[in-house]
Amino acid sequence: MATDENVIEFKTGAWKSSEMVASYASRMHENRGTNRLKNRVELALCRDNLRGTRIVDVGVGTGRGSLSLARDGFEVTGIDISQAMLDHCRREAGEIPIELLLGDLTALPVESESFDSLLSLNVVVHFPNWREVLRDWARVVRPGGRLVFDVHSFDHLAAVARARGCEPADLLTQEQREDPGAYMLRIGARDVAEAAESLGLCVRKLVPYAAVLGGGNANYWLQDSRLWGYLGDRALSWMAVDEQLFSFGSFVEEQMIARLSTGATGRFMVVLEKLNDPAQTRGVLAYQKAIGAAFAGGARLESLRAVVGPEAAAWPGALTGHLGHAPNRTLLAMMLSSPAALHLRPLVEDLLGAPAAAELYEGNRLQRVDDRVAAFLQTWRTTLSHPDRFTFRGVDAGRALEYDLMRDLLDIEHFKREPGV
Amino acid sequence: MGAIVSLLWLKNREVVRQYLARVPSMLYVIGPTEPYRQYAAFGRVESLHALLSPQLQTSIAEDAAARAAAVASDLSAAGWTGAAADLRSDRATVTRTVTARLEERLRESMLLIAALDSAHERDGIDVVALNEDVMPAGKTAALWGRARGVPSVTISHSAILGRLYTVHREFNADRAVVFGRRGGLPYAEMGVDPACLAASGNPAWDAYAALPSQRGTVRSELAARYGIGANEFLVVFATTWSARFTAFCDADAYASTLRAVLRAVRDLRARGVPIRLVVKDRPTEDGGAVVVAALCKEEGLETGVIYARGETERFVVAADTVVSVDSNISVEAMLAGVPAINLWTPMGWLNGPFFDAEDGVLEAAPEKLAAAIAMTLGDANLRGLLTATAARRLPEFAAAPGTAAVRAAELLVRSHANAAAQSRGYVWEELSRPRRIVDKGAQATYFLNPRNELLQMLAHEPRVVLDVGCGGGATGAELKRVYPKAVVHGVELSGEAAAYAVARLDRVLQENVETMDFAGAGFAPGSIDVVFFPDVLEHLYDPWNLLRRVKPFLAPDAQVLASIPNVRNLWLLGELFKGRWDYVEEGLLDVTHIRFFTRKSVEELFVQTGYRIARWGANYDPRVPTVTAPTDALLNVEIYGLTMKDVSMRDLEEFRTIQFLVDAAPA
Repeated sequence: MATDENVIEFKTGAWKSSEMVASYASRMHENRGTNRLKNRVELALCRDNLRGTRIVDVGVGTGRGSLSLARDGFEVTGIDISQAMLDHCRREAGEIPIELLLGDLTALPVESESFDSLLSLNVVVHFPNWREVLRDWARVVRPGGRLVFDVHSFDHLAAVARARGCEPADLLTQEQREDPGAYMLRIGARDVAEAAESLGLCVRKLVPYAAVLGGGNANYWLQDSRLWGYLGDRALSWMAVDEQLFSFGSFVEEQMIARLSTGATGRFMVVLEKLNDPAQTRGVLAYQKAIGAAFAGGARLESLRAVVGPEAAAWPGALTGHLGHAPNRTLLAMMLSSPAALHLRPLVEDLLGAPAAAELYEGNRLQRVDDRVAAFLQTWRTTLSHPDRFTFRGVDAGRALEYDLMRDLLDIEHFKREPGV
Repeated sequence: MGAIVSLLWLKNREVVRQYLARVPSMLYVIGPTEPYRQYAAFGRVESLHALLSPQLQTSIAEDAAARAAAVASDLSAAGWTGAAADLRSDRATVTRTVTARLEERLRESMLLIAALDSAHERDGIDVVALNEDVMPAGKTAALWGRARGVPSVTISHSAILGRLYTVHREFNADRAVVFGRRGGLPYAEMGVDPACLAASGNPAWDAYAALPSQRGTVRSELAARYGIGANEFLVVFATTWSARFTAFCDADAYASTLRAVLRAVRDLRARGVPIRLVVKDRPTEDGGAVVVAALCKEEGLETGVIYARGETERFVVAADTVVSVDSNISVEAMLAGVPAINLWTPMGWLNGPFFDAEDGVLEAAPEKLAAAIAMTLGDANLRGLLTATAARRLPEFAAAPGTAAVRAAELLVRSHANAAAQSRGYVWEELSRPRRIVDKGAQATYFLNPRNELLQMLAHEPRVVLDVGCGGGATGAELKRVYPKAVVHGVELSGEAAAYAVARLDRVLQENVETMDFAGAGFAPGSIDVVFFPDVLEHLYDPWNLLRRVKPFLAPDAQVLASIPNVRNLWLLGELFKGRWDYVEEGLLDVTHIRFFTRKSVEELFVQTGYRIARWGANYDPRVPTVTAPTDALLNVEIYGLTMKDVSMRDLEEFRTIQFLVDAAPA
């Protein structure tokens, strides 16, 4: 089992080798595969929620988060524990002005209240001592300033586990549970709110994202769907080159998912403000709760609109437009092939109409056909008075029949044709 | 010599040849042996089913018929229960579907099981190679292997880029050769131990290693044959089909995707792009030409379409662009350095996209296909980018182009060796822990079979016979059958073999002949008139001393009949040339051999210990080819990577010898 100490030590030390930096840069910096959408969503969330022009980027890494801000005139100070990362960032920066400092994220090497906002991407997720981290971060931001960072959502894990009737930890792989290298901090909206209040901060926003980012951004609602795992990532990678697919992905993330709760997706962006305003924090939690309640009651567009507001009214038209592009339809069908998506069917019908919803859910029907025939092949021989009629010289010749029988039975069950012809 | 069973399709037969070159073996195949005729240089080739006698075939057929009838009667009496009752089709239709070809299918499986058993009993099957461990024959063979402890290796016939669905989602063989890392992912996801998977490329694609450099020649040959103009672009489309093993299958895919391509080509031609389209149909698509012609007519593309079912590699290499629908042929295009377009379909994605955005394969939905083809033909930058990207990604899809057959063969060899290591221990363990005869299975032949070639050398009626290393006593028993008055004394170190021999010979001494006291054992001087040393002397620390010690006990007319392995064997020289001197359980490099002989040193062994050699004989090595030439011919020989000049027929004779047979008399 990973202890907090060895996780912190590993996560702090891991980024110091230049080899690790190069591999990280190739994964994160480029707009390859689904990184294009991830970069767009995360950078837009930062820009929209930062305040002022003096920005500190903690765990600046290769500069993925702040080089574009610096280019646009923000005064950016980047801090990292790894000189190799800072060297890489300096090379990437070229002419772009950016101050880079070596330092630890729990003891930032800067004056108190010297920044308008703090930004930190993909950093808190690595640290179990996140409350201690936040204390120092709150120190360096001026009153009224903002802290913007992303975390993995425990609420998501809990919601999916509840729906599946298992424990949240059951959803993780053994490696994720035990290997310090694979450790990921997972916290919920309530954890964030409590920590913020204790530091004299308020929660301005909690914005879920990463519904369709793939890669390391698991959306557990999609488990057992056709968009889960490496095959799903392969489909999502086409967002890098298919503009309409990219535009659809952006719409899903920014217009729909972003309005939902921290249970919706595996990551959320936290926007804190250095302001003692418990009512604001309570309001954010209340919104989370209302969204949760809308879904718990079998989500319909009407009930969601009551919580989300008028933006939700634009969803049907915009969605229908995006679905004119065939790969977008297939991508959505792949998402909806998750067992967890079955109860969303009324909402999908509200959004797109019954015929379009039926087409999107067609995969579930096809899957049931496959499952039915597969179950038949598993069990049909138990119908017989002597199930071992197929065993010849100790070898079960019956199992060799399954291949042809699968096709023959699909022919009568589904393709409506003479079997095997 | 063991055996390999190959259920591989013909396109993979090079794997078998490479295996046989490494492990000379008996080869059993399904179907005609003709395509494997030249492999007989390494061992016999037989059809598996030829092992079954007509009587056995009939009885199995009757058995299958009885089983099928019993199943049908059960089903009509009891109907369906449990999950089997959940099908939507009515029960009569389901019953009819299940029973329709039951007898035939069951019979095929049972015949294969029986044939595998016969081959195993006869030769001992070391490994089963097959192409699909989910299809009826391959699955039967893999399950048979599991039941008998015979390792099986499945060699993928596709790159396995999408989802493994329904009946494909199993792993019945012990190991799998997949084309590349990607092909292993679905198995890894199923929980198959990565140690069972080898990413070794596709043996059927080894031709691509050499073909791209011949692009110009291939292109001009095809151009001449089909009248393709110099200005025409060659676009190859490989048709798809509806396999119907999952409901996620578009039953109309063949026609709808072909139409999409025909329309794209028609549009491009209308815009002045000269395209010659090759419709590459599946070899099994009988009647495809008629269907394709009809569709071409409907889509207004009556000329400029070449219909082909073979020569895939040549068309791919000559092509300017290859279009297909979630097909291996995109990987072939990658191998050939030709841009590939994957025609996007919803089912393609639902069944797992074959390619990601960085694989160097372009994806185009039907309405964008014309534009994609135009880009790959007209945009040199894009062509360069696609082929360079594809070349970089190629190892993911198909490792080691050009050497896949060799790698697959080596995996077969390792599977064989692993199985031996698991079930029988390593070869060297033989030294400290001799195996039981029954464990040797088919390899026990030299314990249990008479050495007829030595018996044939008898020059007089034997009286007192000493059979040194008599094994199970088979040779002595045969001798006694012909010469009932002969008294045969066997000497055998192995207690188990000796126990067999006791019932067959007059006396069996379970002793080490090197330390045996002949007088103490009751032999009178000058009494023994036949001594057998059947592959024994090379196992002794001091064979010279044994020959000297036994000589006083020999009669004046005594014959010493010995069989001695020849290390001046050409196959063995080839091995040595390759750096191999691999001890094995039996044969030229039996791990228990202590002394090694050539014809010359055999001669010295006998002459120096007081014998003269009256006659020579030989057993020949089936691995070494025979040459017919006049006896005084001097030949240049090239084999096993060796080149030899002016080799005499006498030398060739010795090269071919696996054991010398010696008839020696006391001098």
